[in-house]
Amino acid sequence: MMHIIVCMKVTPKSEQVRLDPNTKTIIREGVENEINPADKNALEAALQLKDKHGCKVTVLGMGPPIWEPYMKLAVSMGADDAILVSDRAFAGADTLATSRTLAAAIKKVGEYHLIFCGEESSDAGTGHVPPSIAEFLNIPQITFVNQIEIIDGRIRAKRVLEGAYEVLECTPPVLLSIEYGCNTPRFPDFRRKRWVDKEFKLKVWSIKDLELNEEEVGLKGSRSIVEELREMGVGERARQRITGTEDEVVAQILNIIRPYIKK
Amino acid sequence: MNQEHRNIWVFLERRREEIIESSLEVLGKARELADKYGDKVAGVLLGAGNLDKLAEVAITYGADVVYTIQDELLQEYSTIPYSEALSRVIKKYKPNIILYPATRNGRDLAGRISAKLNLGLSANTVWLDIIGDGVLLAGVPGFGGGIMAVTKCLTKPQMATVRPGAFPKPQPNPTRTGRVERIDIGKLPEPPIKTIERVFYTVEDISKAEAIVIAGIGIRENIEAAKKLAEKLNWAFGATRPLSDEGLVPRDIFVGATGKTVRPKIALIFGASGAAHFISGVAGAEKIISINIDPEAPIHSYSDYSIVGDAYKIIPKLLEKLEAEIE
Amino acid sequence: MKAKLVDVELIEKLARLTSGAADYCYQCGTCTGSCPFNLLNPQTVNPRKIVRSAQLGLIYDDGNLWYCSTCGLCEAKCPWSIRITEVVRGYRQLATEKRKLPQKFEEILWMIYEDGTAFPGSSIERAAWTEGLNIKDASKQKVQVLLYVGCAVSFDKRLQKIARSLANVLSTAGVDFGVLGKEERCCGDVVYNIGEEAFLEELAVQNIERFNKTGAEAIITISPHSAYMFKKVYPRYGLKIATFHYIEFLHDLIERERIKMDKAMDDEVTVHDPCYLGRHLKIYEEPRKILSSIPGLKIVEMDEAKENAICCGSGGGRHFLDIHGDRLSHYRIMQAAQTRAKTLVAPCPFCIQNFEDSVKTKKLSLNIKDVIELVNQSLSRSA
Repeated sequence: MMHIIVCMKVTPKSEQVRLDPNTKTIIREGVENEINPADKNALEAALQLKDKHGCKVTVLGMGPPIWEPYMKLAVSMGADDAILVSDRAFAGADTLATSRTLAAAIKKVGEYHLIFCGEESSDAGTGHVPPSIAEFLNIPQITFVNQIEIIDGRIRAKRVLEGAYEVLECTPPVLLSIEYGCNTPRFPDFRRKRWVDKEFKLKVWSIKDLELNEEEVGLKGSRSIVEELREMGVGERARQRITGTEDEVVAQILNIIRPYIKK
Repeated sequence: MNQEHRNIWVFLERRREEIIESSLEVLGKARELADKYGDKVAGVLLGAGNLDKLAEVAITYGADVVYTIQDELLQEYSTIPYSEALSRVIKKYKPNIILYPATRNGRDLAGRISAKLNLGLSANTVWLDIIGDGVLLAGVPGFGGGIMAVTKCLTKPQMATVRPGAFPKPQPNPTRTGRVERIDIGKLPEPPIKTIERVFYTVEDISKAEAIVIAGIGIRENIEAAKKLAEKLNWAFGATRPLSDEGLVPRDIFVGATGKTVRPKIALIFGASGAAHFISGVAGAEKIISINIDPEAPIHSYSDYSIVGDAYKIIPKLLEKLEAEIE
Repeated sequence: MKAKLVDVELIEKLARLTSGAADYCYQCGTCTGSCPFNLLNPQTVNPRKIVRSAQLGLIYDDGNLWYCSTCGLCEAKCPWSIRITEVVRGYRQLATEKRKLPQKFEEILWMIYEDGTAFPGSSIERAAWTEGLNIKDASKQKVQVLLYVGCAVSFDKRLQKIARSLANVLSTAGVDFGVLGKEERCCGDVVYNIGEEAFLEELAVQNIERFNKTGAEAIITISPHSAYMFKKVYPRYGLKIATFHYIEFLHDLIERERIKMDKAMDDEVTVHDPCYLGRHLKIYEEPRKILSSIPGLKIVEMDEAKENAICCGSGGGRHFLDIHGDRLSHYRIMQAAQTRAKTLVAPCPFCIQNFEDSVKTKKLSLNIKDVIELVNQSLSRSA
């Protein structure tokens, strides 16, 4: 039976995030969280393989204790197990330190065949964590996958690029990053959720459980830092209002666009 | 200048026999940065056949030197051979900065190199600057494009992936000179991944458009009319994310932070409210005209010309007038 | 043709889920004959077949199970008053348990779970319509009456006017009321109609806790759908607070002369009876009595009024199913236009949304208003 580990991140809802213009930091108060949308697609992809082939699915996240209900929600959706790697030492991690930590956690999990990640997260949107994890685990990677099949124990994945697609095949273990929106994540089973909320115990690991020291994780383990935050200036626009009857407005629009019309 | 790490490298991603536009955009920006602190620009080109012709193209776009790596395993992008080859030359030549286009392959590669060589990596940057002695500052957008983080790498080479369309494609200068250096990196490991099929298809890349009509959710009942208008004007046609999410338009024509960034001379936008993530994709337009029936839609303050009106009525009238003019 | 064994287990399960709704049907077919969706497209919805399947224990996996808006016209015409919409919901519950529901509904369920709304909108914007008004925040202080606004009205600019009108009238009448604002969450009407019972329980229990904390003695809703949920469904999850649709409350205020309408409105209006106010809650006369108290206002009735009203097309989750083409609301506004009325009045946010869309598409010059908007316009400033 194949074991699929799905890496999950909990992100703030993008539309609620604001920048404090005075302190130039993100206002976290009152901002609601959600499972990173692409990770939901990754989990759904794993669960579809579980439905078809009977795999075991474990979700893994690196984050603070408030992530617990979201990890458990993944179990309500159908995951068999959930592990949260949580420690103050992990705070402030860039993608490199995050990947190193997740890779160490995956090594501790033990035997696995597939690692699934969402293609990118909705907050930073780097897309760099999946390839970095694969490198730390020294396994192959296939990014931006939107279709997966298991044929005779081999993985066949469709990888979508700009203006092209590839159908690739690989023997596990392999890491896949799953394209956002490639499937419809199943709504959690709320009957299962009652059991999960009452009985399921989330595994929580700290740095002591991983074979890493403090210099390798979190802020200390990061190799890039954020100097400051700025509101994205979109530049000043002329903001001229065009008014009048519909015909007048149409005429004015035509005047503006006429020089740009191509034959 | 730090003597140990020198030169700005640009990963020249290929699509079959051409260097992709995004890499050329990055090359142009690298040239600008190198000139600012007095350094050289090197393109890195990987492939199977003879790469000299392509290398010459890169020189006309601003490279002082192009390193070519030839191996049959490098014919098309594959993570293990490419990351292995690139990491070997990075270790040998020690560049100061390495820039990659933030295309899917670019990010696949950069993320792998970052872990392989323990290097800091700024992602999907839309803004780059040099301070002091060749220190790279990168602007990374986040939270749907509303906020930009200015980041710095603590290791050398400093690395960044650059959002396609963030910088303009430079004008090639056929009189530019430079040199092409082929590097022998030894035997590469066999790729563990087998390619069953690879299909290329031409996609109208709207990020190169000079003029564009963009349809928003406000005209979802008649996207066809906006498309027809684009055809009549001979402009590109784009859409906002909600239309793509609903499957009403193909995914590769939506404009926005997670979609295409466009930098046209003019953008005519119908029925888009002006959410931050959309604006960040169209902010590079020289002129923006928006039509939205809601007087309080944010798009009005992000436009050069704004109309509070019913696009469902205006578009047909525009088409009518255009048809009359063309006759 | 292979004979199928009767699935007794399925018969019993459906009977349990629907409290035996299918039992007395003798297959006359009046329901299918009167289903308004079949006016647009014959064979769209087949209530007779659904009920028959329940009697025989057959799986009903035809996609059109989801096209029914639970409008209840079939129930009103049925000679035995069979609770047909409950059989529909029963089958939907079975399908949802097996995850065989339309993709759009799966997405809506996520939205309701994560954002507390069935309509696109961020929970932090839910109270945006209250800006500039002095409305009590029921999440922070006790109120006597809780005004439950609902998702559609909170996030839609056109519908927000209804909330403002109602708030003004309640203030003028001196009612001690408040709203939950950012803390308000979806009533779960769509969840109930999709048949997602386990999630509905969690949602309802959480909502009831919020309502109890406000200390309110009564809940008023703007949407008949919310009113139906709180009156008919929530009691089984523990709701003990009395719920009224605002029409009932308003009617009472007028009877007790807590508000006066003295600005004459020289207009002829016609009244649409929303399915969930009329057929499901049996509230037909009050909207008319309220409108009659507006000086100068005359009411002309449409064809198919009151119990026979043709659905606008949105109930039962149907509002979210993207089915293009002809819409029931187009049909209904044509019926309205056939009267001499200049205004079509419908005390339901879904109806108003649909009718507003339809008058634009059909290019009719018909005003669409909620009852409260007319009352507010006619309201005397001296209380």
